[in-house]
Amino acid sequence: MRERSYLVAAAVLLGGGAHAARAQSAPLVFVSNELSKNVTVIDSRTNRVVATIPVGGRARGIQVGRDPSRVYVAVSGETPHIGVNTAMKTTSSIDAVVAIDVASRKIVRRYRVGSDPEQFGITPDGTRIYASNEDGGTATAVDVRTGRQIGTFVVGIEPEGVAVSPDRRWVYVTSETSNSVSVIDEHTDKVVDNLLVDLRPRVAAFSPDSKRAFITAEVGGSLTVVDTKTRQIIKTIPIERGEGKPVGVVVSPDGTRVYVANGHTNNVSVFDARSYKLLATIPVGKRPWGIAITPDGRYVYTANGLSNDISAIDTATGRVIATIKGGQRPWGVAIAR
Amino acid sequence: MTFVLTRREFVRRLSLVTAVAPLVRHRMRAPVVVRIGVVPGDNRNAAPTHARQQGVAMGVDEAKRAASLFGGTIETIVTTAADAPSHRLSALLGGNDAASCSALANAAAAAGILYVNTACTSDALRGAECNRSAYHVIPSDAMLRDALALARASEHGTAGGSLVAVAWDPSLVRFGADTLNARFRSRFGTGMSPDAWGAWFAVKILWESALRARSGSAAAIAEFLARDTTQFDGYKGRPLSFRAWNHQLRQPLYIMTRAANGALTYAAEQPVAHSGEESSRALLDQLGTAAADSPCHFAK
Repeated sequence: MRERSYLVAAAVLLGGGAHAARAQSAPLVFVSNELSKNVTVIDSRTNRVVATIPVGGRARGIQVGRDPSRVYVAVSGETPHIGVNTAMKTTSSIDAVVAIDVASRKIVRRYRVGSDPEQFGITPDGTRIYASNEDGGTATAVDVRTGRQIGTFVVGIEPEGVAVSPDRRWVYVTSETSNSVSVIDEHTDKVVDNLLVDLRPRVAAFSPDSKRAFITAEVGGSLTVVDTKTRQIIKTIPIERGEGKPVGVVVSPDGTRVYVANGHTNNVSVFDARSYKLLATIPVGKRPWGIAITPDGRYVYTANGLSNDISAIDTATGRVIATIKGGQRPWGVAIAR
Repeated sequence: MTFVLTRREFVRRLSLVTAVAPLVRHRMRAPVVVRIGVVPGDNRNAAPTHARQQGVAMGVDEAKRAASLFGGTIETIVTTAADAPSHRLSALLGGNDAASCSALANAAAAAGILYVNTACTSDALRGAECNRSAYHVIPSDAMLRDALALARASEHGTAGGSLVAVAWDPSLVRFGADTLNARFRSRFGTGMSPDAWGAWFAVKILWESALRARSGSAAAIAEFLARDTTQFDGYKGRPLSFRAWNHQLRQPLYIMTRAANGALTYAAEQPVAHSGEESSRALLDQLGTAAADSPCHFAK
């Protein structure tokens, strides 16, 4: 505990300068591109691409740390091709979560987080990365400062989505084959529960107060709401009559809205975060997976994998205000706080 | 005499209760026990029998892994149609041709357990000879024919060359198929054939049904399979479910082109969705025998 407090203090000291310098500018939007193996950087004020950063491998999960000068991207070695033969999957020396320095646009650190990293979460204090290892059936925790692996957690089969609760109490890891969500207690570093959810759970997101978790099920075509205290499923909401193939999910910073990216129906479902009622359905580009919201809650961005672009939604009007050309097969989105 | 609990002690006890709560919750449920009888084929059918053994082995390992999360046990027993009633089974797997599949379906019905057909495409098994105890995860001949017809129609009458429809292929990559295929290949050193996929999927649906029904009894699994909301993830992108009228699994099929040397290359998936509006069930029901045309009338 003492060590953690120290690390938080250090992170604040180190990150403080960069944070102050960036306070005047609009947040930057970072989009990982799976096939073109790079990250597209968009200025959210102009909705123009301001940089493209190569990462040297298949880029999927993407997160901004507590220190907004660092963007983390899960990079792996093999590239899939739709509809053609592929060689066997093998663990590659490229497999890592890489840290990009936003100012210099260079990779400044590589974190070994086990094989084939796809998604990961960062603790709110920025000290730990939790990553899922698809073929190992595990999640790996890494110390951001030292780069050391702190722990390996046995989760379900084909783990995918990772989310850390804002109160830093829980880490949820979704597993696609076992239709499960493993609950890691961040205080004790143990898996304390496994929840059986709908088919092929992909992504989890917490409400800002950490009381609710929202989990998308791609094949089940639904959004599951979990009470994080009792770990009971409150509701499972069909999306687009069960045909939406929802993947990305994000909760607005004020905790009132849940936005879900539907990969099959090419739209975003907007739910009331408390009544779970559908408020709007917003058409976006083709196969939206990644989704993120600006810190002020005004704009939502989706990464559209089959139209190779990014949709920017004005949350006040529920309309797409810009469609920005991305790299090849955009996968995830992260926005600096 | 009063018993005073200090605040610290109260908090300590509370945290103990919280810590064991999930364990208690799992233990309160009756344990799920799934027992699957596997009937080996004869020597004439060595290849599909071998593929089935591999698919079952992988399915059972995954179910055991899930059982370590949720409790329960799963086991397989090598048996024969005649011995099936003596093993208190949930279901039988086996059969490589219409005659053996039909015999096992009847044996399962007599024993009051389920039969999951992983290899026989015969329309009669789902038609005139259908059996309420039998569930068909492998597509019927009618489904394979319909998928080919749709593929040829979409080529606007041009000669399609040598096309073949399959339930699964080791080269599939979409919807997580690359992961499943890689998992199979890394374990067995060979590609996942349709027979292997069927066997793996049979174990998966039996285990998942038992887990969600909280019982591995044949009756509980059958009741779960009959629910309108029941569906499964077969790594085919769409939710898969059984048709109530003949217990055939709805599923997309894959059109492959066959080279002169017999090698298959992926060409297309059928049926093709023309909009995001179609329901998966309606779309997949374009393949095979519709309810209105089905000669299957399950014996009461």
